[in-house]
Amino acid sequence: MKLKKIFSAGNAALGLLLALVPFCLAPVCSSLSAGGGHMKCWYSAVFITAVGAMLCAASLVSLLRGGRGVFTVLLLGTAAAAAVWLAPDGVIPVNGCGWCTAPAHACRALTRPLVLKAAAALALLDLGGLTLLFIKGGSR
Amino acid sequence: MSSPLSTFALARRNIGRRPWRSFCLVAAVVLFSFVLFTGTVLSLSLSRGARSAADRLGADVMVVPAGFDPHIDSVILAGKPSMFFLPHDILDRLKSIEGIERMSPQTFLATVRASCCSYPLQIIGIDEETDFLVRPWLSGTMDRPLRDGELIVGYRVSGEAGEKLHFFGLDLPIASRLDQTGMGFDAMVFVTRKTAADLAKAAENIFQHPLSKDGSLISTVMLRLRPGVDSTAVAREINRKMSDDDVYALFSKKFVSAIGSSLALVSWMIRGATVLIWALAVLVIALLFALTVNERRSEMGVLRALGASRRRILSLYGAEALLISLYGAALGVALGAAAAAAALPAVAGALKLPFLTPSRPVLFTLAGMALAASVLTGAASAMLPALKAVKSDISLTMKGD
Repeated sequence: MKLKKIFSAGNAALGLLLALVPFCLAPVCSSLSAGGGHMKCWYSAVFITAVGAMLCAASLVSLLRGGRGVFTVLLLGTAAAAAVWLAPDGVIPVNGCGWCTAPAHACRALTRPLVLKAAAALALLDLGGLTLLFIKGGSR
Repeated sequence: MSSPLSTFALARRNIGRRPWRSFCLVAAVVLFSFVLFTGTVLSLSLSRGARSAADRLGADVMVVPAGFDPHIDSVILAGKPSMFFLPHDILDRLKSIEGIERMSPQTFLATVRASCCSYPLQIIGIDEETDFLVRPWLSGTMDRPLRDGELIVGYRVSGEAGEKLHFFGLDLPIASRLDQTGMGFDAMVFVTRKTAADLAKAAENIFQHPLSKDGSLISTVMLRLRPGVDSTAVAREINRKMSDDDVYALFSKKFVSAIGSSLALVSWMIRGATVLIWALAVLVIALLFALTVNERRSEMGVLRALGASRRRILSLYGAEALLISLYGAALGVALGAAAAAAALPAVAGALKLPFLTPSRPVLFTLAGMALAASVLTGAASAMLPALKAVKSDISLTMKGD
């Protein structure tokens, strides 16, 4: 049970981190595109914030229930890590998402590296958790 | 709900009883399935890219200024922005060469990083009347000639048909998009040669481009030869006649065979690594299972004495191996898919080889095959020591010998 709570808490913390990165910790580009609208990176930021917030909420619910539903949280966390990594990079097509092409832009220089680090930490935590649950699951 | 004494329920309990050993087994299968899937996708993407380059490069001979032949490689393979020009009378002089069926001049114009959202890009001015290189990649999406002031964009260039791209202060509409080529074409923009000259004039306040003074400049001439004509002989003939004028003819088979030899080396390395990891996985799984079976010989003897058949005991070990292999293989293939999607194009870019990702149905088939191969490897490696153990005598196994 303690292990389940640890995984729920870890996911809540990393979900919160993901939600805070694009607009607070390492903000994406603030300038508007040539047409006057938001640039692709702004839509990516909204997507990442939404995914992070949802993960954080689901993890907190699991934590409040004493770690119940942690398997779903771990699966959600793995999917969230893949989504925030692959959608803005254009591998999974999500309408409007992307990063600016210029490497010097804030979204490429600051936001993306931090998002990728958070996604990698989330993937490691959740895949480790899933493996541990798979191995330990049979002993109970 | 499954019985607590069913084969799979007992197997799950056995997995949990030895967490460290189970983790090592899962890790071995994960590693094998990951390398198998990513290695196969990388190898297949590279060979598809090379085949696509060979099949659809279109030109038998490429004529470039002498000393710029390495540049044409990087333009065609990587889309690296470059600018160079041939002598003015090159088209007239090439007409005297025997065996040429079609020739199409192209003008190269490289953009610069000028503002917030711009980045260097290769613009290629094509001759719409004679072009035979760009049209085959349009796959019927544009059934009219490219007009002056319009663009055709490569597969990886942002923007959809109808949208406008901003170059040197001019807004040009996108007429169509090329199919994925796996080559530098994917990152290029194609315009008519007149539009290329107009763009060079528009860029005069940023940099002086020779094309702004003389719109007739040609960077390269692509030649298609008559059927049966030897491209090596034609390239040699052009080089013999025009080498004094700094003109160099490159036959594309040489270019493609250079790709082929690099590809063969990379494919050999991928196959070598996969076989090595496979052997390692088989060894680790067989060894760990042999240790487990050895540890549990007395338990096996008790089960046999209580009436469990050899088949029942074997199925217990089989279920354990199958669960571990299935979990490890699914995890390895999923990780491999994420890594392939995110990192393989960058790896291919670093290798400087044409790269064409297989279609989704092919990727799903490859994932299924990698999963099946990994499960089979894991289960078969584990079953070998189990088979050996169940064959021994009950009294000996009860003693643990």
